[in-house]
Amino acid sequence: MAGRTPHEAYSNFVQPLQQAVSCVTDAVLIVRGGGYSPRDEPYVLSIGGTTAVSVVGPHGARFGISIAQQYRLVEDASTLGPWRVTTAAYAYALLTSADGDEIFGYHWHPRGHSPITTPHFHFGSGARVERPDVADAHFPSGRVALEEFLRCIIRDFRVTPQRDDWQSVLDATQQAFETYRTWPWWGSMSESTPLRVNYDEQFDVLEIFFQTEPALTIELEEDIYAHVVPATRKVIGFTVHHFRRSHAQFVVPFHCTLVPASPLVRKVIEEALRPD
Amino acid sequence: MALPKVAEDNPKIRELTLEEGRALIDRLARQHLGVSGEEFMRAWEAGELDAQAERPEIVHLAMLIPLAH
Repeated sequence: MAGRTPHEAYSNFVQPLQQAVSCVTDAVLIVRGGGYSPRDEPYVLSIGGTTAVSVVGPHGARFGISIAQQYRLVEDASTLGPWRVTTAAYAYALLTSADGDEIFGYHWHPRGHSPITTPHFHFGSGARVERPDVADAHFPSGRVALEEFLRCIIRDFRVTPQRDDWQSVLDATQQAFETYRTWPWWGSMSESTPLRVNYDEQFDVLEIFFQTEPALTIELEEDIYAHVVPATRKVIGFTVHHFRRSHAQFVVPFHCTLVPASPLVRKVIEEALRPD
Repeated sequence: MALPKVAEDNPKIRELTLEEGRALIDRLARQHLGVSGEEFMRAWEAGELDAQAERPEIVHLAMLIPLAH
């Protein structure tokens, strides 16, 4: 989520998450006061003042859900910001009850003490998985949005939605999240992709960024701007206004080669090029 | 669908002070691990809980540590 100020970016991040959470519980979202002052260390938000809060399952049964998400405020060289909130870690889990055993969980804690630093899914003891290898496995998951987790527990575990418009709320909050996400769909990268392409349909603006660092915006020709780091003269991105209307055939006037940053993308390319 | 407007003073979002954040971690650490929040954070930083780093209660508590800083 982005904003003109750190506080606006923070507000644009926290408020949709609270609405997403409200689809299954009226529990209060807990955040750190002043969690909009930029700093190196992440901030965190969670629900309730407990490890997990109770949600309603089928036939009056209760489940527990646990949600915690760490985030950072970063300055973004693109016009998306200049301030943006980026997710630093998350842990979402469904439990047999608010104080029960974990059934399953989605975790991503790249800077924690666990050796598993990539996004993963695992079963908990509440799933009663008999095979110990499956019970202990960390299944690669790609990064999972909170809304995806909430949809899953409503759809597959029949957690009762707390509002009639839950589908449109989750769609809207996830769409807002996707607009600003820097997470790659292939998910196995430990860092965000260095190449980001964003098309703003409302304003017909295309942005392509290879890196995010403070840059000077220079107009190359009408509607076409290059973002240049003054000290190094390095071009780190482009913005094209009236893209669909006037510049859909825009050719980037620079030489470049893209090097896959994701092991999975490298593997896909290798397999495609392998002789039969 | 446009996002519904939410007031800045959304009562469903509660901002904790540093002291309240530390108190929350302390309460949960005592409840789940039988140690104080300070002791949990010291053990976590020292790597003494690495072998249990995927335990659900510890994952959640570790996620909350920024509330105390």
